[in-house]
Amino acid sequence: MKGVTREDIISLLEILRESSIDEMCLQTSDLNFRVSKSGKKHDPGTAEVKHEISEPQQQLLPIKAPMLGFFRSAPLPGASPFVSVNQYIKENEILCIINVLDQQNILKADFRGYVRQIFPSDGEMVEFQQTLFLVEPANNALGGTP
Amino acid sequence: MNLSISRVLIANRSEIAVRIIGACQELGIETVAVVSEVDRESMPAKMADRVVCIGPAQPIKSYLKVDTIISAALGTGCDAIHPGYGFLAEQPELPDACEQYGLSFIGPRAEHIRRMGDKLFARKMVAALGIPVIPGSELVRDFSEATTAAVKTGYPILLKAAAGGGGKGMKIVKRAKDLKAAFYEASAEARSAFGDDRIYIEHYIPDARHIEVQVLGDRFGNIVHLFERDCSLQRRYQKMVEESPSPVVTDELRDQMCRAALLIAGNIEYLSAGTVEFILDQTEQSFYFLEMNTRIQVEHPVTEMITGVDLVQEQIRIAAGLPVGFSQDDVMHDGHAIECRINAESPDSDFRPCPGKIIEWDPPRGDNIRLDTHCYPGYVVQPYYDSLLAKIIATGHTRTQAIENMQQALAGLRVSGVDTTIGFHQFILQNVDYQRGFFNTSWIEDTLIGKYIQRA
Repeated sequence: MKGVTREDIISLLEILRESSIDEMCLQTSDLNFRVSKSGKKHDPGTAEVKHEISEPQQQLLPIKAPMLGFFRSAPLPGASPFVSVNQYIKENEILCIINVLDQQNILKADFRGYVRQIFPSDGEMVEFQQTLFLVEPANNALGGTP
Repeated sequence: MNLSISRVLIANRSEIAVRIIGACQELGIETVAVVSEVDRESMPAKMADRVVCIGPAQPIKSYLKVDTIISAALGTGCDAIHPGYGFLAEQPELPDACEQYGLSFIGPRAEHIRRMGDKLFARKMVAALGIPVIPGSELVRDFSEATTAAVKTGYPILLKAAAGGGGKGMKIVKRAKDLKAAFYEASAEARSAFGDDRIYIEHYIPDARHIEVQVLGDRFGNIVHLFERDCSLQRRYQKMVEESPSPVVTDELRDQMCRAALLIAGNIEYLSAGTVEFILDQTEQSFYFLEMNTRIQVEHPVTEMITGVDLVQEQIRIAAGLPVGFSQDDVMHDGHAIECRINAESPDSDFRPCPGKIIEWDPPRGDNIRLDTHCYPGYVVQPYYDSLLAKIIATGHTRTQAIENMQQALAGLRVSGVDTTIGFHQFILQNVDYQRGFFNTSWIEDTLIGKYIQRA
C-alpha cells in the first residue's frame, strides 16, 4: 500500500465512521498514523487524525466473554480449535463457543487481527466480561489480505 | 458436623447474601457469591470464598437468570444453591434445574412453590382442611362477574391477583361505584407484574393484624413451628417493623394459629423454612389464612432472637438431608424481639428511593442489638435493586425493653450520603399507640404518615 492518497485517507475515515471500531492504525513504508473516534464530545465524522513518527505501538485488544458459561475452544471435544495463537482472524470468524447449559453461544470476531493470547482452556467456566483473547488488530483491520 | 453439602452458591445479593455466607461459615461450608457487574465490590463478594460475575446490573440479565446461575454453580464445584428471598427464591424453575443438574436447592421442592404460589389453589386447600379463609370468590373473569362476586362477598372488598404477592394487583374497594376502575387497574397491574391477570375477590377486613407463623419441615415428615411474628406495620403492603411475639395474640390464639400452620405445612409435606400468613380480625378476634410464603423471609431474625434457632443453618441442614435439629417441645420463646427495616428512602418525599454513595456508616452497638447489613462507608447503593440497607433487631426481656433498646439502636446508627428511614422508624417507636400495641395494617398509611408530615 504505497503512496497513500488523500482520497484513501478519507475513505478509511468513512469506513471507520460507519464501523463500531473506536481506533485504527495504518502503517505503510512512508506513513504511520493512528485514527481514533475521540469520544462523545466530537462528531464521529470529524475523528481526530494523529500522525505518529515513532514505531507503531503494538496494541492488543481484549475480547471479553459476553456472558458467563463454559468456554469451548473447538466445535467438538478433541476437534481442532476454532483459533490458535498467532492465527490471523477476520470479521465474523468463529472464536469460540460459550455454553450455558444446553445453549451454545457462538462468539465471532468483529475485527481483523492476530490472536496473540488465549486465556481460558477448553471447558473452563468463564465469567461475564472475562478477557478471553488478546488480539493485535491488523494494520488493514478493515479490508484486504494480510 | 459432616454435611453432604460442602460448597454453596448464594444466588442473591445484599444483607441476605451476607447472612447466608455467615451461616455457611459457621457450618464450615465454602461459599461462592455470584455478583452483577455493579456488585463486584459488595460485602458478600468480599466475604465469599469465591466470587463470580454473572452479568450486568439489571436483575433480568444477572440475578434472575436460572441457566447462568446453574452454570456458575457447576463451574465452581458447588453442590447446593441458596436463593435467599426475592429474585429466584419463589421461581420453581430454579429447584427444577437444580434437580436436573444434581445440585441441592436450599429451600422447598418446586411443587411446594408452585402450589402455594397459586393463591386460589392455596385458599381451596386450606379451606378443605377446615381452617378459615377470608370469605371471597373464585376467579372473576370479567367486570360483570366481579360485580356479582363483590355483592355476594360484601363491601368493602379487596381485589387480589391469583399469582399475587407484594401488594401488586391488590386494590381495596369500599363502594360499588369504585369497582370498575379498580378492577381494570388491578388486572393491568397483575398482568405487568406476574404476566397473569387473573383476579379474585376477598372481603376486606379493616381492623386487621398481619400475623405469620414460621415453620420448618424436613424430609422425614417432621414439621415444627417457631411461633408467630406480627408484621402489621406496613406501608403499601411493604413491612416496615416486625416483632415477635405479637402483643395482641393471646396464648389461645397463638396455639390455634400455630396448629393451623402445622396442619397446612404438614398437608403438603413442606420442606425447609416457610411462613404461613394469617389476617387477624381484631374486632372479631378471629383469624383467616392469607397465604404461605415458600422462602426464608426478610423478617426471620425476630424469630431467631426469641427462639435461639438459626433458621438459615436449619435450611442448610435440611437440604443436606438431616432432620430438623429439635422437636416441637424443645422450641421455647423467650423475651421479645423487634426488627426495623432501614431503607435508603426519603420519608419526607413520599419514601422516594435514594440510591447513592454512603459516606458515613457507623453501626449501633449493644448487647441487645443485632444488625444484618451489607453496608459500609463508601458502599454505593445501586438504583437497580430494592433499597433495604439494614435490619436492626433489638431484643429485651419485655416488649418495653425491646422498644427502648431499638430506640437506642436507631439513635446510634449514623448514616450519611443517602437518605434513610431511620427518622421515620424513630417516629413510629416513640408513638404512644405503637408502644401500647394499638395498631393495624393500615395504621401507618391512615394515621402515622400524616402525623409525620405535620411534625415540628
